Amino acid sequence: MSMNTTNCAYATEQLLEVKNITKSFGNTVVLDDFSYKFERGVYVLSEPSGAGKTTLLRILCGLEVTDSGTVLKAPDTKTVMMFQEDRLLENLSVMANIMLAIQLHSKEQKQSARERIKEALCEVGLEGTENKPVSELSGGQKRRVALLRTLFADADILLFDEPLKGLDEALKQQVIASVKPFIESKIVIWVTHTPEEVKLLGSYTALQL
Amino acid sequence: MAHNPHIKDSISARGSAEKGAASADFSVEKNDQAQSAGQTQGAGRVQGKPTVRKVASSWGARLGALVFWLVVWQIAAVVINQDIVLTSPIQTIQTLFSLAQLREFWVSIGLSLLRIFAGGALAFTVGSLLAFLSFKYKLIKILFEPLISTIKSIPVASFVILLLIWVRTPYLSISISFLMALPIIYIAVLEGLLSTDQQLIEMADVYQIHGWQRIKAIYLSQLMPSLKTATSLAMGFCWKSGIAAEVIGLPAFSIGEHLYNAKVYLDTPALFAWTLVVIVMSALGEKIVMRLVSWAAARLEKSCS
Repeated sequence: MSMNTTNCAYATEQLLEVKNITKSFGNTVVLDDFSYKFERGVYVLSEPSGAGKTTLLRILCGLEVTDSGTVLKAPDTKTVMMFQEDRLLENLSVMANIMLAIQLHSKEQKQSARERIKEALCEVGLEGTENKPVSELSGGQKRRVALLRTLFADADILLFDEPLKGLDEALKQQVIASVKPFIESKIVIWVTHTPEEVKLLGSYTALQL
Repeated sequence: MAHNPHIKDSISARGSAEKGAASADFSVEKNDQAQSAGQTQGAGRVQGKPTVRKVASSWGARLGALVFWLVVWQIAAVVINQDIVLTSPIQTIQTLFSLAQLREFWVSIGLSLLRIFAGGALAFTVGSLLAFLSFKYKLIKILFEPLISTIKSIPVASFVILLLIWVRTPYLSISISFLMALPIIYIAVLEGLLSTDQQLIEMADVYQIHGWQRIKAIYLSQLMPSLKTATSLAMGFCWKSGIAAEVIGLPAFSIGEHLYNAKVYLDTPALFAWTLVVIVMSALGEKIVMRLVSWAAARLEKSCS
Protein backbone atom coordinates (compact mmCIF):
# COMPACT_ATOMS: atom_id res chain seq x y z
CA MET A 1 0.00 0.00 0.00
CA SER A 2 1.55 3.32 -0.99
CA MET A 3 1.14 6.27 1.29
CA ASN A 4 3.82 8.89 1.16
CA THR A 5 2.16 11.36 3.46
CA THR A 6 1.35 9.35 6.56
CA ASN A 7 3.38 10.26 9.56
CA CYS A 8 3.19 7.93 12.52
CA ALA A 9 4.93 10.17 15.05
CA TYR A 10 1.85 11.80 16.46
CA ALA A 11 0.24 12.54 19.79
CA THR A 12 -1.55 9.52 21.21
CA GLU A 13 -4.86 11.25 22.07
CA GLN A 14 -5.13 12.81 18.65
CA LEU A 15 -5.59 9.91 16.23
CA LEU A 16 -5.82 11.72 12.94
CA GLU A 17 -5.02 15.06 11.39
CA VAL A 18 -4.80 16.14 7.78
CA LYS A 19 -2.76 19.18 6.89
CA ASN A 20 -3.11 21.13 3.66
CA ILE A 21 -3.77 18.16 1.44
CA THR A 22 -4.23 18.72 -2.26
CA LYS A 23 -5.17 16.12 -4.83
CA SER A 24 -5.78 16.51 -8.56
CA PHE A 25 -6.70 14.07 -11.31
CA GLY A 26 -5.38 15.56 -14.53
CA ASN A 27 -6.52 19.17 -14.59
CA THR A 28 -9.31 18.61 -12.09
CA VAL A 29 -8.49 19.65 -8.55
CA VAL A 30 -10.49 17.37 -6.28
CA LEU A 31 -9.10 18.41 -2.90
CA ASP A 32 -7.64 21.86 -2.50
CA ASP A 33 -5.57 22.62 0.59
CA PHE A 34 -7.85 20.69 2.96
CA SER A 35 -6.96 20.60 6.64
CA TYR A 36 -8.75 19.08 9.62
CA LYS A 37 -8.07 17.77 13.10
CA PHE A 38 -10.20 14.73 13.80
CA GLU A 39 -11.16 13.76 17.32
CA ARG A 40 -13.11 10.70 18.33
CA GLY A 41 -16.66 10.98 17.00
CA VAL A 42 -18.78 10.83 13.89
CA TYR A 43 -18.09 13.08 10.90
CA VAL A 44 -20.51 13.30 8.03
CA LEU A 45 -19.65 14.19 4.47
CA SER A 46 -22.71 14.80 2.33
CA GLU A 47 -21.45 17.11 -0.38
CA PRO A 48 -22.48 16.68 -4.02
CA SER A 49 -20.87 14.10 -6.29
CA GLY A 50 -17.39 14.99 -7.48
CA ALA A 51 -16.59 17.06 -4.37
CA GLY A 52 -13.79 14.69 -3.37
CA LYS A 53 -15.47 12.67 -0.62
CA THR A 54 -14.31 9.27 -1.82
CA THR A 55 -10.87 10.65 -2.68
CA LEU A 56 -10.47 11.90 0.89
CA LEU A 57 -11.41 8.49 2.29
CA ARG A 58 -9.01 6.77 -0.10
CA ILE A 59 -6.21 9.11 0.99
CA LEU A 60 -6.97 8.47 4.65
CA CYS A 61 -6.74 4.71 4.27
CA GLY A 62 -3.61 4.91 2.14
CA LEU A 63 -5.02 3.92 -1.24
CA GLU A 64 -4.35 7.30 -2.81
CA VAL A 65 -1.27 9.50 -2.63
CA THR A 66 -1.71 13.24 -2.17
CA ASP A 67 -0.06 15.81 -4.45
CA SER A 68 0.92 17.82 -1.37
CA GLY A 69 0.13 18.01 2.33
CA THR A 70 0.34 15.45 5.09
CA VAL A 71 -1.85 12.91 6.85
CA LEU A 72 -0.82 12.42 10.45
CA LYS A 73 -1.85 9.34 12.38
CA ALA A 74 -1.03 8.14 15.89
CA PRO A 75 1.25 5.09 15.99
CA ASP A 76 -0.47 1.70 15.46
CA THR A 77 -3.68 3.33 14.32
CA LYS A 78 -5.72 0.97 12.18
CA THR A 79 -7.89 2.46 9.46
CA VAL A 80 -10.46 0.50 7.46
CA MET A 81 -12.86 1.57 4.78
CA MET A 82 -16.22 0.31 3.62
CA PHE A 83 -16.16 0.95 -0.10
CA GLN A 84 -19.00 2.11 -2.31
CA GLU A 85 -18.83 -1.33 -3.90
CA ASP A 86 -19.25 -4.37 -1.64
CA ARG A 87 -15.86 -5.87 -2.60
CA LEU A 88 -16.72 -9.23 -1.12
CA LEU A 89 -15.27 -12.56 -2.15
CA GLU A 90 -18.29 -14.01 -3.90
CA ASN A 91 -17.33 -17.68 -3.69
CA LEU A 92 -16.56 -17.52 0.03
CA SER A 93 -19.17 -17.75 2.76
CA VAL A 94 -20.52 -14.77 4.68
CA MET A 95 -18.57 -15.92 7.75
CA ALA A 96 -15.31 -16.29 5.79
CA ASN A 97 -15.65 -12.80 4.33
CA ILE A 98 -16.05 -11.23 7.76
CA MET A 99 -13.41 -13.42 9.43
CA LEU A 100 -10.85 -12.35 6.85
CA ALA A 101 -10.89 -8.83 8.26
CA ILE A 102 -10.10 -10.05 11.77
CA GLN A 103 -6.55 -10.87 12.76
CA LEU A 104 -6.89 -13.78 15.16
CA HIS A 105 -4.50 -16.57 15.99
CA SER A 106 -5.85 -18.89 18.66
CA LYS A 107 -8.72 -21.31 18.08
CA GLU A 108 -10.59 -19.88 21.08
CA GLN A 109 -10.39 -16.35 19.72
CA LYS A 110 -11.65 -17.53 16.36
CA GLN A 111 -14.53 -19.45 17.91
CA SER A 112 -15.51 -16.45 20.01
CA ALA A 113 -15.37 -14.18 16.93
CA ARG A 114 -17.60 -16.60 15.02
CA GLU A 115 -20.17 -16.47 17.81
CA ARG A 116 -20.12 -12.66 17.86
CA ILE A 117 -20.47 -12.55 14.08
CA LYS A 118 -23.47 -14.90 14.19
CA GLU A 119 -25.09 -12.63 16.76
CA ALA A 120 -24.37 -9.53 14.68
CA LEU A 121 -25.75 -11.21 11.56
CA CYS A 122 -29.00 -11.81 13.42
CA GLU A 123 -29.15 -8.19 14.46
CA VAL A 124 -28.90 -6.94 10.88
CA GLY A 125 -31.47 -9.42 9.60
CA LEU A 126 -29.06 -11.96 8.16
CA GLU A 127 -29.65 -14.83 10.54
CA GLY A 128 -28.76 -18.25 9.15
CA THR A 129 -26.69 -16.87 6.28
CA GLU A 130 -23.24 -17.40 7.84
CA ASN A 131 -22.41 -20.45 5.76
CA LYS A 132 -23.97 -19.23 2.52
CA PRO A 133 -21.67 -18.16 -0.30
CA VAL A 134 -21.93 -14.41 -0.81
CA SER A 135 -22.88 -15.01 -4.45
CA GLU A 136 -26.25 -16.32 -3.22
CA LEU A 137 -27.15 -13.13 -1.35
CA SER A 138 -29.22 -10.20 -2.59
CA GLY A 139 -27.66 -6.74 -3.09
CA GLY A 140 -28.98 -5.45 0.23
CA GLN A 141 -27.73 -8.52 2.10
CA LYS A 142 -24.25 -8.17 0.57
CA ARG A 143 -24.17 -4.52 1.67
CA ARG A 144 -24.84 -5.56 5.25
CA VAL A 145 -22.10 -8.22 5.10
CA ALA A 146 -19.64 -5.59 3.85
CA LEU A 147 -20.72 -3.31 6.72
CA LEU A 148 -20.17 -6.03 9.32
CA ARG A 149 -16.73 -6.79 7.85
CA THR A 150 -15.78 -3.15 8.44
CA LEU A 151 -17.16 -3.13 11.97
CA PHE A 152 -15.47 -6.40 12.96
CA ALA A 153 -12.07 -5.26 11.65
CA ASP A 154 -11.57 -3.59 15.03
CA ALA A 155 -10.06 -0.40 13.62
CA ASP A 156 -9.60 2.97 15.27
CA ILE A 157 -10.67 4.91 12.21
CA LEU A 158 -13.72 3.72 10.28
CA LEU A 159 -14.43 5.18 6.86
CA PHE A 160 -17.85 4.51 5.35
CA ASP A 161 -18.51 5.41 1.72
CA GLU A 162 -22.28 5.36 1.26
CA PRO A 163 -22.61 2.33 3.53
CA LEU A 164 -26.39 2.03 3.41
CA LYS A 165 -26.74 2.44 -0.33
CA GLY A 166 -29.52 0.21 -1.63
CA LEU A 167 -31.22 -0.38 1.73
CA ASP A 168 -34.75 0.86 2.35
CA GLU A 169 -35.50 3.41 5.07
CA ALA A 170 -36.73 1.00 7.71
CA LEU A 171 -33.80 -1.35 7.21
CA LYS A 172 -31.38 1.58 7.40
CA GLN A 173 -32.73 2.42 10.85
CA GLN A 174 -32.33 -1.12 12.07
CA VAL A 175 -28.81 -1.42 10.72
CA ILE A 176 -27.69 1.90 12.21
CA ALA A 177 -29.04 0.84 15.58
CA SER A 178 -26.83 -2.24 15.51
CA VAL A 179 -23.82 -0.25 14.26
CA LYS A 180 -23.82 2.10 17.25
CA PRO A 181 -22.01 -0.10 19.80
CA PHE A 182 -19.16 -0.69 17.34
CA ILE A 183 -18.33 2.95 16.71
CA GLU A 184 -18.11 4.27 20.25
CA SER A 185 -14.84 6.10 20.94
CA LYS A 186 -13.67 5.80 17.35
CA ILE A 187 -13.22 8.22 14.50
CA VAL A 188 -16.00 7.59 12.00
CA ILE A 189 -16.24 9.38 8.67
CA TRP A 190 -19.56 8.66 7.05
CA VAL A 191 -20.19 9.63 3.43
CA THR A 192 -23.83 9.81 2.46
CA HIS A 193 -26.25 11.67 0.23
CA THR A 194 -29.00 11.29 2.83
CA PRO A 195 -27.72 12.96 6.04
CA GLU A 196 -30.97 12.03 7.84
CA GLU A 197 -29.64 8.50 8.18
CA VAL A 198 -26.73 9.72 10.29
CA LYS A 199 -28.96 11.54 12.77
CA LEU A 200 -29.78 8.07 14.00
CA LEU A 201 -26.14 7.58 14.95
CA GLY A 202 -26.41 10.38 17.51
CA SER A 203 -24.38 13.58 17.54
CA TYR A 204 -22.12 14.20 14.57
CA THR A 205 -20.05 16.89 12.90
CA ALA A 206 -20.84 17.93 9.34
CA LEU A 207 -17.58 18.08 7.43
CA GLN A 208 -17.02 20.41 4.48
CA LEU A 209 -14.34 19.96 1.86
CA MET B 1 -22.89 -6.15 20.47
CA ALA B 2 -25.93 -5.19 22.56
CA HIS B 3 -28.91 -7.25 21.60
CA ASN B 4 -32.30 -5.61 21.27
CA PRO B 5 -35.14 -8.15 20.86
CA HIS B 6 -37.46 -5.55 19.29
CA ILE B 7 -34.88 -4.69 16.72
CA LYS B 8 -34.21 -8.33 15.97
CA ASP B 9 -37.90 -9.16 15.55
CA SER B 10 -38.57 -6.35 13.19
CA ILE B 11 -35.34 -7.00 11.28
CA SER B 12 -36.23 -10.67 11.01
CA ALA B 13 -39.63 -9.76 9.62
CA ARG B 14 -38.00 -7.42 7.15
CA GLY B 15 -35.34 -9.98 6.29
CA SER B 16 -37.98 -12.60 5.61
CA ALA B 17 -39.96 -10.17 3.51
CA GLU B 18 -36.85 -9.31 1.55
CA LYS B 19 -35.96 -12.95 1.10
CA GLY B 20 -39.51 -13.66 0.04
CA ALA B 21 -39.34 -10.92 -2.54
CA ALA B 22 -36.00 -12.19 -3.75
CA SER B 23 -37.26 -15.73 -4.09
CA ALA B 24 -40.41 -14.49 -5.82
CA ASP B 25 -38.24 -12.68 -8.36
CA PHE B 26 -36.16 -15.81 -8.78
CA SER B 27 -39.28 -17.89 -9.42
CA VAL B 28 -40.49 -15.45 -12.04
CA GLU B 29 -37.10 -15.55 -13.74
CA LYS B 30 -37.03 -19.34 -13.62
CA ASN B 31 -40.58 -19.52 -14.90
CA ASP B 32 -39.63 -17.28 -17.78
CA GLN B 33 -36.73 -19.57 -18.57
CA ALA B 34 -38.92 -22.64 -18.35
CA GLN B 35 -41.55 -21.10 -20.58
CA SER B 36 -39.00 -20.01 -23.11
CA ALA B 37 -37.69 -23.56 -23.17
CA GLY B 38 -41.16 -24.69 -24.08
CA GLN B 39 -41.78 -26.52 -20.82
CA THR B 40 -45.18 -26.63 -19.16
CA GLN B 41 -44.46 -26.64 -15.47
CA GLY B 42 -46.97 -25.38 -12.93
CA ALA B 43 -46.26 -22.23 -10.93
CA GLY B 44 -44.20 -22.93 -7.83
CA ARG B 45 -42.91 -26.25 -9.13
CA VAL B 46 -39.82 -24.79 -10.75
CA GLN B 47 -36.64 -25.84 -8.97
CA GLY B 48 -33.05 -24.66 -9.27
CA LYS B 49 -31.61 -28.18 -9.25
CA PRO B 50 -31.89 -30.39 -12.35
CA THR B 51 -34.77 -32.82 -12.13
CA VAL B 52 -34.33 -36.61 -12.37
CA ARG B 53 -36.12 -36.51 -15.73
CA LYS B 54 -33.72 -33.88 -17.09
CA VAL B 55 -30.65 -35.82 -15.92
CA ALA B 56 -32.04 -39.07 -17.31
CA SER B 57 -32.84 -37.45 -20.66
CA SER B 58 -29.34 -35.94 -20.80
CA TRP B 59 -27.75 -39.36 -20.14
CA GLY B 60 -30.19 -40.97 -22.54
CA ALA B 61 -29.15 -38.53 -25.29
CA ARG B 62 -25.46 -39.29 -24.67
CA LEU B 63 -26.04 -43.02 -24.68
CA GLY B 64 -28.09 -42.68 -27.84
CA ALA B 65 -25.26 -40.82 -29.60
CA LEU B 66 -22.75 -43.46 -28.46
CA VAL B 67 -24.94 -46.31 -29.69
CA PHE B 68 -25.41 -44.50 -33.01
CA TRP B 69 -21.65 -44.29 -33.64
CA LEU B 70 -21.09 -47.88 -32.51
CA VAL B 71 -23.70 -48.99 -35.03
CA VAL B 72 -22.00 -46.89 -37.75
CA TRP B 73 -18.65 -48.48 -36.81
CA GLN B 74 -20.12 -52.00 -36.86
CA ILE B 75 -21.77 -51.41 -40.26
CA ALA B 76 -18.51 -49.99 -41.68
CA ALA B 77 -16.58 -53.03 -40.37
CA VAL B 78 -19.12 -55.43 -41.91
CA VAL B 79 -19.02 -53.58 -45.25
CA ILE B 80 -15.20 -53.45 -45.38
CA ASN B 81 -14.99 -57.00 -44.04
CA GLN B 82 -11.22 -56.90 -43.40
CA ASP B 83 -10.11 -57.04 -39.76
CA ILE B 84 -6.69 -55.71 -40.63
CA VAL B 85 -8.24 -52.47 -41.96
CA LEU B 86 -11.12 -51.96 -39.56
CA THR B 87 -11.92 -54.13 -36.57
CA SER B 88 -15.56 -54.25 -35.48
CA PRO B 89 -16.55 -52.95 -32.02
CA ILE B 90 -17.57 -56.46 -30.97
CA GLN B 91 -14.15 -57.87 -31.88
CA THR B 92 -12.44 -54.94 -30.14
CA ILE B 93 -14.29 -55.75 -26.92
CA GLN B 94 -13.48 -59.45 -27.28
CA THR B 95 -9.77 -58.64 -27.74
CA LEU B 96 -9.90 -56.32 -24.75
CA PHE B 97 -11.35 -59.08 -22.56
CA SER B 98 -8.69 -61.54 -23.63
CA LEU B 99 -5.95 -58.96 -22.98
CA ALA B 100 -7.42 -58.23 -19.57
CA GLN B 101 -6.70 -61.84 -18.55
CA LEU B 102 -2.97 -61.10 -18.71
CA ARG B 103 -1.04 -59.65 -15.79
CA GLU B 104 1.09 -57.64 -18.23
CA PHE B 105 -2.01 -55.76 -19.39
CA TRP B 106 -2.67 -54.33 -15.92
CA VAL B 107 0.99 -53.68 -15.13
CA SER B 108 1.37 -51.77 -18.40
CA ILE B 109 -1.71 -49.65 -17.70
CA GLY B 110 -0.53 -48.97 -14.15
CA LEU B 111 2.97 -47.94 -15.14
CA SER B 112 1.79 -45.74 -18.02
CA LEU B 113 -0.71 -44.08 -15.70
CA LEU B 114 1.98 -43.51 -13.10
CA ARG B 115 4.43 -41.96 -15.55
CA ILE B 116 1.88 -39.70 -17.22
CA PHE B 117 0.37 -38.57 -13.92
CA ALA B 118 3.84 -37.91 -12.51
CA GLY B 119 4.61 -35.67 -15.50
CA GLY B 120 1.25 -33.89 -15.13
CA ALA B 121 1.66 -33.40 -11.37
CA LEU B 122 5.18 -32.06 -11.87
CA ALA B 123 3.92 -29.63 -14.54
CA PHE B 124 1.14 -28.50 -12.23
CA THR B 125 3.55 -27.81 -9.36
CA VAL B 126 6.36 -26.23 -11.37
CA GLY B 127 3.99 -24.29 -13.65
CA SER B 128 2.03 -22.83 -10.72
CA LEU B 129 5.18 -21.92 -8.79
CA LEU B 130 6.80 -20.31 -11.82
CA ALA B 131 3.62 -18.37 -12.55
CA PHE B 132 3.47 -17.07 -8.97
CA LEU B 133 7.12 -16.04 -9.14
CA SER B 134 6.58 -14.40 -12.55
CA PHE B 135 3.61 -12.53 -11.13
CA LYS B 136 5.63 -11.31 -8.17
CA TYR B 137 8.94 -10.59 -9.90
CA LYS B 138 8.90 -9.04 -13.35
CA LEU B 139 12.46 -10.23 -14.03
CA ILE B 140 11.39 -13.86 -13.71
CA LYS B 141 8.45 -13.23 -16.04
CA ILE B 142 10.74 -11.65 -18.64
CA LEU B 143 13.21 -14.52 -18.24
CA PHE B 144 10.71 -17.34 -18.59
CA GLU B 145 8.35 -15.90 -21.19
CA PRO B 146 10.48 -16.85 -24.24
CA LEU B 147 11.18 -20.30 -22.78
CA ILE B 148 7.49 -21.04 -22.23
CA SER B 149 6.61 -19.73 -25.72
CA THR B 150 9.30 -21.95 -27.23
CA ILE B 151 8.11 -25.06 -25.35
CA LYS B 152 4.56 -24.27 -26.44
CA SER B 153 5.43 -24.11 -30.13
CA ILE B 154 7.86 -27.06 -30.41
CA PRO B 155 6.15 -30.20 -31.84
CA VAL B 156 5.89 -33.24 -29.56
CA ALA B 157 7.89 -35.38 -32.03
CA SER B 158 10.88 -32.99 -31.87
CA PHE B 159 10.86 -33.12 -28.08
CA VAL B 160 10.57 -36.92 -28.04
CA ILE B 161 13.55 -37.39 -30.37
CA LEU B 162 15.61 -34.86 -28.45
CA LEU B 163 14.73 -36.32 -25.07
CA LEU B 164 15.52 -39.85 -26.27
CA ILE B 165 19.14 -38.68 -26.31
CA TRP B 166 18.97 -36.92 -22.96
CA VAL B 167 16.89 -39.19 -20.71
CA ARG B 168 16.39 -42.92 -20.18
CA THR B 169 13.28 -44.36 -21.85
CA PRO B 170 11.27 -44.97 -18.63
CA TYR B 171 11.51 -41.23 -17.94
CA LEU B 172 10.63 -40.17 -21.49
CA SER B 173 6.85 -40.06 -21.06
CA ILE B 174 7.22 -38.27 -17.70
CA SER B 175 9.37 -35.58 -19.33
CA ILE B 176 7.11 -35.22 -22.36
CA SER B 177 3.91 -35.00 -20.29
CA PHE B 178 5.64 -32.43 -18.11
CA LEU B 179 6.78 -30.31 -21.05
CA MET B 180 3.40 -30.40 -22.80
CA ALA B 181 1.38 -29.50 -19.69
CA LEU B 182 3.81 -26.91 -18.29
CA PRO B 183 2.95 -23.99 -20.64
CA ILE B 184 -0.80 -24.60 -20.23
CA ILE B 185 -0.63 -24.45 -16.44
CA TYR B 186 1.89 -21.59 -16.38
CA ILE B 187 -0.13 -19.38 -18.75
CA ALA B 188 -3.47 -20.12 -17.04
CA VAL B 189 -2.14 -19.38 -13.56
CA LEU B 190 -0.27 -16.25 -14.63
CA GLU B 191 -3.24 -14.89 -16.63
CA GLY B 192 -5.51 -15.64 -13.69
CA LEU B 193 -3.21 -13.82 -11.28
CA LEU B 194 -2.80 -10.83 -13.59
CA SER B 195 -6.55 -10.51 -14.04
CA THR B 196 -7.30 -10.59 -10.30
CA ASP B 197 -9.86 -7.94 -9.47
CA GLN B 198 -7.95 -4.78 -8.45
CA GLN B 199 -10.80 -3.74 -6.18
CA LEU B 200 -10.27 -6.92 -4.16
CA ILE B 201 -6.55 -6.22 -3.96
CA GLU B 202 -7.33 -2.76 -2.56
CA MET B 203 -9.75 -4.32 -0.09
CA ALA B 204 -7.05 -6.76 1.01
CA ASP B 205 -4.61 -3.84 1.46
CA VAL B 206 -7.07 -1.86 3.58
CA TYR B 207 -8.07 -4.84 5.74
CA GLN B 208 -4.43 -5.93 6.09
CA ILE B 209 -5.00 -9.37 4.58
CA HIS B 210 -1.46 -10.52 3.93
CA GLY B 211 0.63 -13.63 3.37
CA TRP B 212 -1.02 -17.02 3.03
CA GLN B 213 -4.48 -15.62 3.86
CA ARG B 214 -4.19 -13.23 0.92
CA ILE B 215 -3.01 -15.97 -1.46
CA LYS B 216 -5.82 -18.28 -0.35
CA ALA B 217 -8.71 -15.85 -0.20
CA ILE B 218 -7.90 -13.42 -2.99
CA TYR B 219 -5.65 -15.10 -5.54
CA LEU B 220 -6.43 -18.81 -5.35
CA SER B 221 -10.16 -18.34 -5.07
CA GLN B 222 -10.10 -16.02 -8.11
CA LEU B 223 -7.82 -18.41 -9.94
CA MET B 224 -9.82 -21.59 -9.45
CA PRO B 225 -12.13 -21.41 -12.51
CA SER B 226 -9.28 -20.88 -14.99
CA LEU B 227 -7.12 -23.42 -13.16
CA LYS B 228 -9.84 -26.07 -13.48
CA THR B 229 -10.14 -25.48 -17.23
CA ALA B 230 -6.35 -25.51 -17.66
CA THR B 231 -5.99 -28.72 -15.62
CA SER B 232 -8.58 -30.48 -17.75
CA LEU B 233 -6.84 -29.32 -20.94
CA ALA B 234 -3.38 -30.20 -19.61
CA MET B 235 -4.51 -33.71 -18.63
CA GLY B 236 -5.65 -34.35 -22.21
CA PHE B 237 -2.30 -33.16 -23.54
CA CYS B 238 -0.41 -35.28 -21.00
CA TRP B 239 -2.19 -38.42 -22.18
CA LYS B 240 -1.78 -37.80 -25.89
CA SER B 241 1.86 -36.74 -25.68
CA GLY B 242 2.77 -39.31 -23.00
CA ILE B 243 1.44 -42.23 -25.05
CA ALA B 244 3.09 -40.84 -28.21
CA ALA B 245 6.40 -40.70 -26.31
CA GLU B 246 5.96 -44.31 -25.18
CA VAL B 247 5.31 -45.43 -28.76
CA ILE B 248 8.61 -43.86 -29.82
CA GLY B 249 10.69 -44.59 -26.69
CA LEU B 250 9.22 -48.07 -26.05
CA PRO B 251 9.72 -48.32 -22.30
CA ALA B 252 9.05 -51.86 -20.98
CA PHE B 253 5.51 -52.45 -19.69
CA SER B 254 3.78 -49.47 -21.23
CA ILE B 255 0.64 -48.85 -23.27
CA GLY B 256 2.85 -47.28 -25.96
CA GLU B 257 4.91 -50.46 -26.28
CA HIS B 258 1.75 -52.52 -26.86
CA LEU B 259 0.46 -50.03 -29.44
CA TYR B 260 3.81 -50.27 -31.24
CA ASN B 261 3.75 -54.08 -31.21
CA ALA B 262 0.21 -54.06 -32.54
CA LYS B 263 1.41 -51.88 -35.41
CA VAL B 264 4.47 -54.09 -36.14
CA TYR B 265 2.45 -57.34 -36.14
CA LEU B 266 -0.50 -55.73 -37.97
CA ASP B 267 -2.67 -56.74 -35.02
CA THR B 268 -5.46 -54.22 -35.64
CA PRO B 269 -7.86 -55.66 -33.01
CA ALA B 270 -5.14 -55.22 -30.35
CA LEU B 271 -4.45 -51.70 -31.66
CA PHE B 272 -8.16 -50.84 -31.28
CA ALA B 273 -8.34 -52.50 -27.84
CA TRP B 274 -5.33 -50.56 -26.53
CA THR B 275 -6.68 -47.33 -28.03
CA LEU B 276 -9.92 -47.96 -26.17
CA VAL B 277 -7.88 -48.39 -22.98
CA VAL B 278 -6.23 -45.01 -23.61
CA ILE B 279 -9.61 -43.32 -24.13
CA VAL B 280 -11.11 -44.83 -20.98
CA MET B 281 -8.01 -44.10 -18.87
CA SER B 282 -7.85 -40.53 -20.16
CA ALA B 283 -11.52 -39.88 -19.29
CA LEU B 284 -11.19 -41.56 -15.89
CA GLY B 285 -7.92 -39.78 -15.12
CA GLU B 286 -9.42 -36.42 -15.98
CA LYS B 287 -12.45 -37.09 -13.78
CA ILE B 288 -10.21 -38.05 -10.84
CA VAL B 289 -7.95 -35.01 -11.24
CA MET B 290 -10.91 -32.64 -11.60
CA ARG B 291 -12.45 -34.13 -8.46
CA LEU B 292 -9.15 -33.56 -6.65
CA VAL B 293 -8.99 -29.93 -7.82
CA SER B 294 -12.62 -29.33 -6.77
CA TRP B 295 -11.95 -30.97 -3.40
CA ALA B 296 -8.88 -28.76 -2.91
CA ALA B 297 -10.91 -25.67 -3.86
CA ALA B 298 -13.63 -26.58 -1.36
CA ARG B 299 -11.05 -27.17 1.39
CA LEU B 300 -9.47 -23.84 0.58
CA GLU B 301 -12.77 -21.99 0.83
CA LYS B 302 -13.60 -23.74 4.09
CA SER B 303 -10.24 -22.87 5.61
CA CYS B 304 -10.92 -19.15 5.10
CA SER B 305 -13.71 -19.09 7.70
